[in-house]
Amino acid sequence: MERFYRKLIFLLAALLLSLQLQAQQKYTVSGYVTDASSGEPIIGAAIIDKESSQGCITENSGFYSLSLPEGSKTLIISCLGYSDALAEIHLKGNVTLNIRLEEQLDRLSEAVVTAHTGGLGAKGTQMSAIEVPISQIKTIPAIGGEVDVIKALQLLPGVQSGTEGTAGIYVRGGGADENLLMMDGVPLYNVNHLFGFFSVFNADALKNVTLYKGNFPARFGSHLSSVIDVRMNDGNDSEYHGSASIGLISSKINVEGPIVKGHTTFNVSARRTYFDILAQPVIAYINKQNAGKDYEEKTGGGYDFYDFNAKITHRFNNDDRLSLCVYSGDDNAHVKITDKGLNEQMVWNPSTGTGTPSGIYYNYKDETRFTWRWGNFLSSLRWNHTVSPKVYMSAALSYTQYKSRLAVGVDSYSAMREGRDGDDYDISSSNGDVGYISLIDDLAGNVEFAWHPEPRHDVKFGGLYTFHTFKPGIISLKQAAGEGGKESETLLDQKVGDSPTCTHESALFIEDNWAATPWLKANVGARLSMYNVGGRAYFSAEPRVGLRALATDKLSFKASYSEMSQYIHLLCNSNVSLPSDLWVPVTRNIRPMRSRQAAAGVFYDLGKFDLSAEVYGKTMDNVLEYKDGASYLGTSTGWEEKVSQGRGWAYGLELFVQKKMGRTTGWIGYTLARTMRCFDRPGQMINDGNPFPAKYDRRHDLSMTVTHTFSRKFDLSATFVYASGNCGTIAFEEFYAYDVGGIGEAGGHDFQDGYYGVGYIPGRNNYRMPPYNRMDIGMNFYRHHKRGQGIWNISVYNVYNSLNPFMITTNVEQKWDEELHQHTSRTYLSKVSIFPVLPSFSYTYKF
Amino acid sequence: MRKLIFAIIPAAMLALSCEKEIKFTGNYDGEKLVLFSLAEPGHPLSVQVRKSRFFLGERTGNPTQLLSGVTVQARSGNEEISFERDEEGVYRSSYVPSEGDHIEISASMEGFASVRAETTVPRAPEVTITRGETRLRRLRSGNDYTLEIHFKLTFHDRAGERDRYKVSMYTKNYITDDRYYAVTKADGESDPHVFYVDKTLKTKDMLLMESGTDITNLDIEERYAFFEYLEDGSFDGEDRVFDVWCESYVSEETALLPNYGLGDYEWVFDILSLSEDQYSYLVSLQKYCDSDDLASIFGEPVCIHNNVKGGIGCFGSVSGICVTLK
Repeated sequence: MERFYRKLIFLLAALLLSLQLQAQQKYTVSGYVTDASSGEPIIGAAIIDKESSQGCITENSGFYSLSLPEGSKTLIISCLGYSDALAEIHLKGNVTLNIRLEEQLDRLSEAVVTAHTGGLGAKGTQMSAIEVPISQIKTIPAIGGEVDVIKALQLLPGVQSGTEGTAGIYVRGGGADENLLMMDGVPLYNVNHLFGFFSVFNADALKNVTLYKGNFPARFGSHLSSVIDVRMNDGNDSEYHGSASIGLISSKINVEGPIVKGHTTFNVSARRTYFDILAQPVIAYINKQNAGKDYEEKTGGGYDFYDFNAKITHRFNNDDRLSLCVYSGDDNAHVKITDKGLNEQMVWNPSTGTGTPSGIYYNYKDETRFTWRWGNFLSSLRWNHTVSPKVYMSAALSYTQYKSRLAVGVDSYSAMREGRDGDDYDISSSNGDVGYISLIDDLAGNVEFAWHPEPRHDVKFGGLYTFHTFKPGIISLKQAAGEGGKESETLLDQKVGDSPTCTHESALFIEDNWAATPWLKANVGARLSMYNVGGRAYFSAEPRVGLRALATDKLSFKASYSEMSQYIHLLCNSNVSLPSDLWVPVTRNIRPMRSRQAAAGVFYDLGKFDLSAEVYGKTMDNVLEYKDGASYLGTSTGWEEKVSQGRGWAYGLELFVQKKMGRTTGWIGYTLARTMRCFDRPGQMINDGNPFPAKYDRRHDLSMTVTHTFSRKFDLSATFVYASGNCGTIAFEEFYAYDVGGIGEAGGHDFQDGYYGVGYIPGRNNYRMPPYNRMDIGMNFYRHHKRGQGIWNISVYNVYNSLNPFMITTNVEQKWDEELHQHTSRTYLSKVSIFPVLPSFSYTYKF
Repeated sequence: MRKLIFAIIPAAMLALSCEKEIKFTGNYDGEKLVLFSLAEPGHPLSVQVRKSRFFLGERTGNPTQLLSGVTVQARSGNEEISFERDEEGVYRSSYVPSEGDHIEISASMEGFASVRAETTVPRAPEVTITRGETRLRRLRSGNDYTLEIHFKLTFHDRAGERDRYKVSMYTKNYITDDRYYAVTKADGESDPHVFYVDKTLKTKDMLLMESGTDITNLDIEERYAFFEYLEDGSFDGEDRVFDVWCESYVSEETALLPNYGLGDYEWVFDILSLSEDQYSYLVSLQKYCDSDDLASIFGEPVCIHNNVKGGIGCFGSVSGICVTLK
């Protein structure tokens, strides 16, 4: 291993030295590309030298650097959604050139086709990645009209959704916990609200979303199956703008603008739901029915979630920018039940056989409280610095936390009373509280350098360190009681559960986007990672290679290979995302997961259309699956014994057609895939060691989304999804099973105590649910005002009311048979659907 | 708390959901023969054959009924084994298995696919059991006691073999109830592994004093106290010692009875080596029974191990030793 690292370091040093030597005869033009109206940095804009066709693309901060030979140059700067810009420069030294691109004002015009020179598209080296513009995500119809980034990603090929309506995603055969979701470069552990039906990403606060399904750049790691890179808006640097939106489920507000014009910007967004507020009249009505009686039961409660995003960016000068990003989001479910009464005691009169009032009353009050809060807090401080015209640095300190807190409390009071209004005596009271907390928090630092030694090379390197703290399930118990009017005495006050576990994760990476020849480009990189837990260190070397061969100006072939390692697991085994799901680290017994993925594809740029076809093959090692009968709800202790480690493999074909411009935009994605799992190691067997399909193995997955802009005042969008059903484990057959008993009369061991009606399951995930299909439509009506724009959105989710299965259950129906004079029973399968046709509307005002 | 969580989540789901019957579209190839047989050295081989029943639709037939008209055959090496059906419906042979025998069984019946299964009879375990101290210990809270009896089980595991064991303990002199547990502590482990079982051993006195029930109404034959399945994965080829503490809750009144705890305790240790299929079947059956609670709503269903090709069931084998200590 040591020899390998020595060789690697030597090779990298030689590569860097050669790049430096080559770069010495050229000059560099560098700067930032920003939006002309807002000053917002533009990610992925292309800067191309017209003469040599050499170019580069902008970083996440909008920075670019291009080294060219001395002389007069014409640079073409282009980006989708913006008008192209030309810049004439005479290079006789290094030049700083900041460029502001004008947004295409007429969104109905047939835009000039912008060639991709960046990472994506036919000309880029990056494959298995899709960038979805936030503007397009906003037009996709969604449940309750709630625009959802994750649900939009579920419509892409290679991405399987979980159970109906939930935000879980399964990328190329991976699990729900194998996706690295990052907001401005900082991981988020729980991206779900309301058990996964909504995601935490508020589209109003976002600028850009990119999904990587494979061919992972070396700067990304720590999760096996995908990277979802979500970038927040910095904020307008010259004017105040914003929007306010009111819908059936939530209201949102977004404000952005300059704090110091041209230097400091802010962008603040907030969203809150109304479930709790809408429920209040219903609760009040029920309580009113019970009021005024000797026996009174009051119920209170509700559910809500909120998101808060804020970002402040300060530009000290052209070389230094500092940005502070904060996200906070919580779900809150709470119930309070109060039960009180004043009952007059009766005296039994044996002679009359009736009770007579005694004048003595029993006064009691019981209160039960239940609160469950869970959510993320994330903050990061990022410093972007131009070290030199060719070297750009981005360093960040970040903190991210996911916490779930549950509290149940019971208070009881009882006393006797002489007369209805008498004083209480014989008082007894008690109270008990049970609390449950689980959390994971990360304190991390990372630095990344982008080095552009010459147009043929685009090098990125850096490192990161993360200090993880896991507190997987701590329960606190408190109990106190008092009798006879005495003060309550504490009977119990203790905490139980696993002690916190601290782990260290670090990584170094380097990658070079290298144009070997005009037709052959390569992205070569490596990532070295280390994870230290409980004194044991795990190392991993992860090579990453991507190749692009340009056949014609519009047609290219790509191939890639990447390896990934993952050191944390999510313990959950239900269909929905529960706040009790626990993140746990690898241990001495549970080894890190590892994946190897190879992919090849053909990409064709038809101008208005992008076409691509990719095939992939992926193997996964040390993946987890729950053993038969294992259940995890709210428990972290002994979890290692409840899981098995095994392997998995997935392969498939993905077809993707995307239209990005014109009146009609959208895409069609189709995936043909197979995902298998096998747990055949001694002591770890599941399904008797035989391979079985993964829960979300879907053979066919078709999704279409289209938006047509009829006029400036109206656009219409529609989404259609068809997918093979998920797999599940269900018994269809029953038999009489035996246990081995004690020593029988004959001296041998007998079968004893049979179990009647034991369900026979031939194998795990033996049943495939019915196919899933759904169509949604959405309409936007735009009304232009003097100071802004009003948008009415009307959307219908599941427009033809397809009752898609959320889960499959077996039910028993009993009938009375008149002829036989006995009950007969019939068992049948039924599907539970939770989202029938759901119309919704919202109104947004932009200013 | 768990129940509350379980109640709230389904309630929220229910409020949103609608349910509809669906047609069964899975692969079902008809009723199957269900075969069970256990080969044990020194005891004649017998086979029980029933049939399975489709789960869906109106249920017909009785899956507990032993089938007649089944052709059952077996072979051990070159020896053909024949069976005859007795009045209970069990197919019995005169063949007595020995350790190391490899036996193949097949059964066929008109209207069903033929089934077959095989097993190799394992060698009996090598275990030494010794009795340790007995003590009556007062509980920390309250005035009650636990009666603790110590046993030491030493497994002399054979190297290079994948051994699987079933350890059972019971007593002949006690009746059972639901407050008994045993704690075992393997050598070198800091935390004892707690086996919690739902059956207990108690004196007649304790039972009378606690519940006031006349013991003549209770099933005294129900005597199993504790059992556990083991694999030698962590101690292959080694001597492994298990300290077994049998603890019984004793009320203060009972503990003060004259001569309490000095009665005739007759502990029986029944330790079996299991064939791989028998072990897998019994462990899966135990999981199936344990998972039948509320938590299993979110748990993985249990697949009962099946080694009967073409059908359902288990043909396994055991070899055991039985030690009685007073």
